[in-house]
Amino acid sequence: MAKKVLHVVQSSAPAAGSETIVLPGLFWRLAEAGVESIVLTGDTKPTPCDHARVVCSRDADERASLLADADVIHLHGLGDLQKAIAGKAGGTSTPVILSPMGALEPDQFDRMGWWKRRRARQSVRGVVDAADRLTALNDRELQHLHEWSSQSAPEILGYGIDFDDYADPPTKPISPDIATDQKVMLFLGLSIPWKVWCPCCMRSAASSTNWRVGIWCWLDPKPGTGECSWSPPSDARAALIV
Amino acid sequence: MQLESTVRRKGGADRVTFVTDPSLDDQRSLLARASLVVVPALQIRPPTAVLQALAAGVPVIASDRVVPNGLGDCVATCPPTREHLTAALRSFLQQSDEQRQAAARLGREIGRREYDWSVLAPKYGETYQAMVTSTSSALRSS
Repeated sequence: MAKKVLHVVQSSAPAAGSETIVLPGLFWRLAEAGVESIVLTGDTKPTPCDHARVVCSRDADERASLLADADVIHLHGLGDLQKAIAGKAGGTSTPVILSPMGALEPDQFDRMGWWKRRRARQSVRGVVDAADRLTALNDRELQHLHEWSSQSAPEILGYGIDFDDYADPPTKPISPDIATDQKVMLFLGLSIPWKVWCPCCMRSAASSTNWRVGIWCWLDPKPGTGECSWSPPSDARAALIV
Repeated sequence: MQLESTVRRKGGADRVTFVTDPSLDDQRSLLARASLVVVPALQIRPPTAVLQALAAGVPVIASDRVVPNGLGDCVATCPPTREHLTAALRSFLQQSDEQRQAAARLGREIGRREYDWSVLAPKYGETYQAMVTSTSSALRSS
């Protein structure tokens, strides 16, 4: 039986977004089933996580020992860390499961120049070939994965959350200036804001008198540091679109 | 942030609140106060924000890049373009409060049935187990 799973995530810092929100729920349920979860991240400092041991090692020997000890290696995403670990895992008999989380979408490569795109596809191809299983988030991603997969048929294995965590929300006022009878429209996103949602939310803000518009941004973490950076759109470009 | 200055320049500063890097508790507070959540992702991403909104009982408009399978009936889905998003927002604003609440209730019900970890985690366990078993068999036969 699988007793120890090594989860590889680029960052476990809260600012990294999705993975840090959803994965603790999985670790908890796996722990209940007797499966130990170890999280290897590219951070410089570990962010503690319930029901999992977080490791931030850059030491080759320690990484090799983690790989050898694991029954299964699960790569969440396809960053530099996941590529490095997939390369090492190829030399072991430990099975690897890859959840690219959108990283194999054609758009990701189309934005690159041809030389960079060629190299990126080669490097990703190595990871896909090293994986024993590929999982997709939805049908759209599954289609892309079929184009990449040469070994086994990709399958859908979604991420979840614990719905009960949202049954009794905290009452702490985060925006005390919002009147309690005012309706709130939340825009959420990590993506490039000026492309789509910035103009829409600007218009919503300008045109709706009864609605308060909230813009909730997750910031891009710098790989390996857990720190945040933010590249806002230039005024000229935003103004042009709005 | 330049986005904030753009909002100010457009005269929306009194109606737009920027919340950057919110903690999980902040996210839950925000969701509890929201009447609508919009997730206009341009790329395929984990559907965390969509599921959080459904769990909080809030109606969702989301880009088709992030809507997980099986939630098409309870999440208003559109391609991530300005025109489609604007149309989806207009359509939502024309609905009655009852219609919005019904969509939110349905979303919470289906979301919990399909995407709560209590349902999904055993599938992960089975997948891991199948991989271990198949690797062991391969090693034995070699």
